[in-house]
Amino acid sequence: MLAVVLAAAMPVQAQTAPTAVQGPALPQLRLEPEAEAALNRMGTSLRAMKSFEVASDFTAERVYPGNHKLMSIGNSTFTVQFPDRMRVDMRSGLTHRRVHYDGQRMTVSAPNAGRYIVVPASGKVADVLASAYENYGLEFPLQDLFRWGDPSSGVTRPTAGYRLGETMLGDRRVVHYAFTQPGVDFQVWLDETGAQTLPLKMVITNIEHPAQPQFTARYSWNQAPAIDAGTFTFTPGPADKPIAIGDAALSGK
Amino acid sequence: MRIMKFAAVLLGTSALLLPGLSPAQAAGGKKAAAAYGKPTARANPNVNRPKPSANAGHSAGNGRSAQNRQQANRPNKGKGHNNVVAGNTVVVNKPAGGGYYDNGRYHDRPDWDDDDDDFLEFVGKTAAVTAGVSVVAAVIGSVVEDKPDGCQPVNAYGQSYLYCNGTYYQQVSQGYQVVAPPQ
Repeated sequence: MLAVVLAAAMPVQAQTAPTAVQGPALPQLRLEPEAEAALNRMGTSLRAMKSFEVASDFTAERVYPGNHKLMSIGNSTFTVQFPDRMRVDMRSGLTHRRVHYDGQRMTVSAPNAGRYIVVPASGKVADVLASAYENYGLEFPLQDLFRWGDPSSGVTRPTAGYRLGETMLGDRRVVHYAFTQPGVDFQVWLDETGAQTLPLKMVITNIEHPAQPQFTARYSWNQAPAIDAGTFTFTPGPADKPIAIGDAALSGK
Repeated sequence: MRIMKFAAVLLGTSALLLPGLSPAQAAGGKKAAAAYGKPTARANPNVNRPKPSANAGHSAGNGRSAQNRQQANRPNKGKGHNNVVAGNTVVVNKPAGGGYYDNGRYHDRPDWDDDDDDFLEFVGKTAAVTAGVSVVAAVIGSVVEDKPDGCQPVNAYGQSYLYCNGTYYQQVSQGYQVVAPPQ
């Protein structure tokens, strides 16, 4: 019975070529000023905070041959003290990674594996996140939230954006916005009730691939986190072993 | 008929995958999903790729389109990258945000739910590349069976190429062969 239901629901294209099925285009592509302003207001609010802690539950889809999608789930906590302190805890599957940045060095550790790597890093949190991506292939969910509205950040201006209206998200009243830009559609649900405009939910859709895998996240914000002296500095446990960069050298072929 | 067969395969896959999921398998999304093969695409955890920082020597190539990537990362063209063509070896100084080459094979960036040790090994090796400790190379003529991740089709001078993470490939009968950049 299930097979019949599944077969009926399965588009014929799914078993043949994985080409994008192009439906009709949006009737109009327009970047509403109020939608763009909301995005910039969010970025400005985030950068205006001196410190914060944001916890998120996220889902991330991967696409497999035949355009089948599987979703991984995870959660992260970012603790940031501007300009140059950050700690990230990231869990997905049974993995747990930590990143400590204390203004002078960045430590990437995996507590369950008992190993860690220390790399030099300096400067603003946003720059460290960017160089972590370039130099170490580390991509942190959330990092681009801080770039909107910053002229120096070089973010792409969306090609279209709309304010879709208000909705309840749990017990919070939020405003739903949708944007599109080359290769990416994204939606944010913003809490605009307080002094700061903060995102409580975000969905990013990869529209470059016909299966359109999505990343989704729910955020909860603490604008007055308790930060102790050791928050941003990695202290290895007695069993933790460092990985020396030279030891990790490649075969060189 | 084909549809029914397809559905049956799908159900069979699910049945294999779910009940017998051991903690070891569950530790890595890719391992749990072995029945599904290799991922062909991923969700973007960020809308915009990070802006290259001013002090990164090889920061070009964050563009999303094939044209951008081709121009930004094209060896020996423009500035902001250290790719070198020497002898029969293209030395690719790790593409920004990507993985690394070792022994002619491209190692893609791991996902957040991949094995912790694999993840740390990856960070260590990319750190070694970044620090200049290691030379990474995709040897011209070497063939990989699987299509590398992150490829963009590129047409240049009447030839079709795949541009994947800083290296040009052409499809051959055994797979994908590393070729010299079109110039």
